[in-house]
Amino acid sequence: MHPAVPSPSRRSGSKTSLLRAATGVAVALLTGLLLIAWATDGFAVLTTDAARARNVAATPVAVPAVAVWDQRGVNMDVLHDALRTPGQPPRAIIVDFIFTRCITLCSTLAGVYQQLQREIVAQGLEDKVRLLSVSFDVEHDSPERLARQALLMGARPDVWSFVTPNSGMGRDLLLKTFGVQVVAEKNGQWQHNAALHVVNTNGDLVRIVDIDDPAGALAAATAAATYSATAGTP
Amino acid sequence: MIAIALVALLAFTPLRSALESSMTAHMLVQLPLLLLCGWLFAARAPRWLLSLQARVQSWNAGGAAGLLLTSAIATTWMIPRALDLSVTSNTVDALKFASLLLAGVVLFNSWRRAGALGQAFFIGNVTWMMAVAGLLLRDAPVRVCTSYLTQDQQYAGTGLLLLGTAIGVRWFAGWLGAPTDAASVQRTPPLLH
Repeated sequence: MHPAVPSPSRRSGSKTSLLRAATGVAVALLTGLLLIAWATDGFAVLTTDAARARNVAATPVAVPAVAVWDQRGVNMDVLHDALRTPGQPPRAIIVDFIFTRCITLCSTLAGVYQQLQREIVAQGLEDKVRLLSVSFDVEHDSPERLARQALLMGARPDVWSFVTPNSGMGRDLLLKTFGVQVVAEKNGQWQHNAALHVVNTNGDLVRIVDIDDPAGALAAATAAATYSATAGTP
Repeated sequence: MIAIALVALLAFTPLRSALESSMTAHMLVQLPLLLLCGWLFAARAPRWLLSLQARVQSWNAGGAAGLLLTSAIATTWMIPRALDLSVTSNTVDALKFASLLLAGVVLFNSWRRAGALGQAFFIGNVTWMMAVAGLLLRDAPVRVCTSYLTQDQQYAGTGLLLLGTAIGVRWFAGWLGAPTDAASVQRTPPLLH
């Protein structure tokens, strides 16, 4: 019934090697976990988009001043002029990125924006939330093309406007700020990550919402507008 | 020498951006090649590597620590965000190269020592992970990498699924074909010929 007792020297030798083996496994496990934790922001995200949304929710990003054309051909700053109509309270904006020649994802986005526009009007949020579609196709999307797009989409000028940066540099700065990556396809089309970007009345990007959750984006935008309006009141 | 030349070719020529411009080439050509380079380097190890290996050997009993580390490194570079980061950041790409080369060296030093059971565990883990990642990529309704096109993502998914399955089947066939007497358990077939 009694197990054989190994000699003391052999026992201590196997103890050492067991300890070393266990230490090796522990170090490997820890290194591996650290590596995966780094790649996933502490096991929170798997994709760049998710990481971006998480970062923005935690730390709002100031949207830089970028000169753009709108669909009327008026030169303005991407957010501040579009946001602040004189004599009206500032509004939060839901921003998306498009190009008018797009035949795939942008039509989904356009549908979501039409739905958002209906909701904004139905809920009487026109003085709180505004929609902004930014085209990154600076070569093709002239004010005329933007105007045609606005007409096609049934965009109400007081709710939904279309702009294009008037330089490639401005476009790159905006794409970088919003975390949008544009990849060229062989057929002259582009693929890009699409989302609903909520910018508060201070011009800070505060939330990135999936395109299948327009209600969530509208709620976030309304909150951003209400919060800033309250905070801005002396 | 072949290993070093191949790494130099992968790291310092336009081949790097060429392979990284496609998700399929990135995941199914560049990453496995880096692992292979590490393996080949260890197979013809220079003296300093041999003495280093001899010193750390006792911490890698049964190859357990080594196979664990290799799995973790392989897993990391199958995470879409890590893949995206390696395309947009040179620092992360350097980390990717270094970690996969290390994984190759470590795998070479752990594979035979692991024995059939350890190998089965490792192969099961890695191939299952590749197959699942492949299925997810094939069926994902959206692009998971911001750097790559949808079509490319589907090809990469199919490729991962096939490669994972092929490695699993290859290992199992080798295991079946190996002599079955007790003494041969330590002489399980190598992963690569």
